Amino acid sequence: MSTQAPVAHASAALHGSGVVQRGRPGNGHWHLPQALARIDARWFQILFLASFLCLGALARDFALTWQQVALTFAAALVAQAAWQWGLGLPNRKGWSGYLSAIVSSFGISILVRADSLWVHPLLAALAMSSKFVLRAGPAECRSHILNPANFAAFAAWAWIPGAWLSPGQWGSESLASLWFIALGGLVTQRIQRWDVSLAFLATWAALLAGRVLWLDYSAGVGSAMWLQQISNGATLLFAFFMISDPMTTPQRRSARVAYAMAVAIVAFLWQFVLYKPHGLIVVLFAASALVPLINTLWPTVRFEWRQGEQTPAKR
Amino acid sequence: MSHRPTGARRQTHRLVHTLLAAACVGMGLVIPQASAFCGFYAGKADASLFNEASQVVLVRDGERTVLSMLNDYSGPLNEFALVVPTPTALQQGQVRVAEKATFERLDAYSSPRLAEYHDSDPCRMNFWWGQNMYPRAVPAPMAAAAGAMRSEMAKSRDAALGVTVEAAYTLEEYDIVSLSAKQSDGLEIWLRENGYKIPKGASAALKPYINMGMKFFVAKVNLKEQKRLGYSMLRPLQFAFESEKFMLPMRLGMLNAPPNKPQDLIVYVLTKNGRVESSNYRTVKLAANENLPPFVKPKFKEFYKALYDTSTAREDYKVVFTEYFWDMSWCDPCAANPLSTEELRKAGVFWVGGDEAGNFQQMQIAPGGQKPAQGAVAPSSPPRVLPGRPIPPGGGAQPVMLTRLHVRYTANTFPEDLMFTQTKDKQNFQTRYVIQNPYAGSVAACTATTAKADCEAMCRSRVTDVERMVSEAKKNNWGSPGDYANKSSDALQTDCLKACSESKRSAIEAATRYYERELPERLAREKQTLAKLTGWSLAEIDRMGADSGNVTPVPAKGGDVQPVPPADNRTWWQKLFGAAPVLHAARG
Repeated sequence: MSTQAPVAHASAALHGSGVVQRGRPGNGHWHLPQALARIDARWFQILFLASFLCLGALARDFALTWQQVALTFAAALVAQAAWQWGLGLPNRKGWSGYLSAIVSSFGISILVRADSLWVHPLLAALAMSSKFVLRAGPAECRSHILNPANFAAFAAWAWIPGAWLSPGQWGSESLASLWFIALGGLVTQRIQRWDVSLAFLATWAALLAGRVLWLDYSAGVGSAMWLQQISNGATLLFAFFMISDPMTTPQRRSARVAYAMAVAIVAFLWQFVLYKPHGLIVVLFAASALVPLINTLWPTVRFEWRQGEQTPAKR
Repeated sequence: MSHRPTGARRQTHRLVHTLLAAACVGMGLVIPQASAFCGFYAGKADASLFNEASQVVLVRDGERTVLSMLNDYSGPLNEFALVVPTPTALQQGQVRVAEKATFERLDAYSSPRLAEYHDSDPCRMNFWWGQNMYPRAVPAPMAAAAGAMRSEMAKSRDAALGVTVEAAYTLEEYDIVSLSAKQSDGLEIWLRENGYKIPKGASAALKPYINMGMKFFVAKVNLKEQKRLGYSMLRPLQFAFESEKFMLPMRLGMLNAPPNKPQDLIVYVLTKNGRVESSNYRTVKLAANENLPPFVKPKFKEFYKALYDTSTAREDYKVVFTEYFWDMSWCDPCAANPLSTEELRKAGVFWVGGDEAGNFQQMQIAPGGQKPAQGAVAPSSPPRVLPGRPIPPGGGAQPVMLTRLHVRYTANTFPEDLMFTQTKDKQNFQTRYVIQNPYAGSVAACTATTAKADCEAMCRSRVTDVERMVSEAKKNNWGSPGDYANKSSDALQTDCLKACSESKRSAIEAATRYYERELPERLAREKQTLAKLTGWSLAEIDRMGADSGNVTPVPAKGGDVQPVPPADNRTWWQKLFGAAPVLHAARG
């Protein structure tokens, strides 16, 4: 494991799938039928994210143009190729890295809004580059620091003119929420990061319930409010497709459960005590910087992307 | 303006609503049980259309916030009271009486508009023969025809109750108290003991705001003052405060509303950087820029109301609609002129006219410049509008963006107060609809017109011109006159006649295509659009078209004509120092 050149992981992705953990047998594997297990789980992610993007664009009036989507994908793929080949990575000829680029592109398209055509490709290129440039951690689990889609969303809100985030864009429809939970559950289980999603969602839901109880809303209003907040599409997307990224969350399970809970708590304070916008995106961005430190303090052999358990990791 | 397409059903509606009471002001709680509070009339498919609508102007930059609320309470004035949760206890000076005109101006400027265009005559003889030889021979009016392009618009007992009176004063016709409370039951008892009529359930609804640390602004009408001032209607109130919360406490207004009864709220948000949207509900743009059949023109208000009804029902009253977003410095087409710097300052836009920190500070200082003593009574000066700070030239340079949000909600569909976020989106948007009037003509008329054109005579003079040009060309070395060279007069005449009759034929063809195919197809498309947008049946629409009698189209003067805002011909110094321009709403 630790014999690999650190950059070699760069082509591995962002949100997870196809991950096989080595070393710590205590971590329960998700047993899938062999055929299913052989498929790189990022394909599932791509399928789900694509359907969410379509749902959003067609049924939710996402303020997004097809040109912006096309440019996002083009820029992400080109940036990925340029880094893979430019650094002469051993796995430069593999397609694994591009899968990650596609997953990131979906994330950026779903999250970022802009009033021009240059914002999306710029963010896509920056996000993919961040994987190669911003890297840290102990040798055995050195990795990129930021989840590319999270980085792009943060940059859009904080730095880029003419770009913004629309946290309310999904509305809060219970039907869509169920779909998210079901699909998200499948993906995260497949990548063994369901613990992060679950820890985050449980903490977030508990904090929101606590707030409603503390503010002492009447039962009817309070429960409706809680449901409206918890079934927000953006929150569910965050839980299943962003904070669950195996590459940018702590490697040891206890550490990453604590991490997910901490992100939920700080984001809650940011949003409901300080009344600042985009708590989840901002806090995950800031918290990511702590992950290499956490991995150093509680070392574990890192996850490694591969395309199914049957074949050796594509390097 | 005051045309209200409502009728008996709505009147019953109103009565029911009146009995059920309370505040429909999206913002606060209007106390008297008999409150016909809802119903805002302002001027197009304007807010008057939605007579259960509350209107709020929210001006915000950073944490600085100026909030104005317009209510149209028409019940007994001695029973009127307003309770608004505010982030801080509002002191004298932070509250002023605003002008209803501000709301009307904002409404007029941002209301959905109908743009009207006219087709040009399809029966055009493009008879160019002999006209395009050399630059000076090109007839100027011909070249101009091609260029006609349409631009794409666009705040002992009290202690026992846990209530602290933070401030109490009289402002104009209002008696105002700012309260902080420890328990909601205490607050409810305090309000009752002090002569405010509180609807049942108020305590439960007030509780979360107390727990959030919010204060309460309570106002009632001082009948003596009002009589003295000579006002018969209630004027809007405006608050200036700093708060990290970018929100509207609309839930309190739902107190006595039946859980499924929709109410309307129109929020005009004025910001510096970009469009504002809700952060906890979906924000959706209404369908706009659609072409409608010309006979909709006299029924534009009904159209827009039906469109809004259909759109909100389709979304189950769960979304916030954007009706308008535009940089306040211009508009296209203009439903009304943009607000002047003076008007913006009255609306609470503190960053226009320079020194925004100073301007905002001014808005929080009581008259006389001192923090008021409790119970102090303000001098009854004329309405305190923004302090008369001189506005330096070019003071309007800071951008003012207006987002007009329209929400139709029920207590069930909007369980949370409305939270906002400012985006960096600067793409203008307006609910604009288009009618394109057909040209008043016919194939027969075209045939008759073209028949009258005397090719023989026209050609004779053109041949003469051509021959003169050819000889001049030779003399001045202008180059070869091409097809016209080396031909006899007779040959030229024959060529010209051929071109002339060809142009007649193509004019009749164009007219036939226009009247027999393009127009009916276009009208069918427009009717489909109308049906889709309003939920009206095609049969109804056909009847409407028939009733209108075929709209008498107005012949256009050359090409598409777009509505042009009234020109402001004043000089820059007149604009700076002079009276406000007379505002004309460019209808349609």
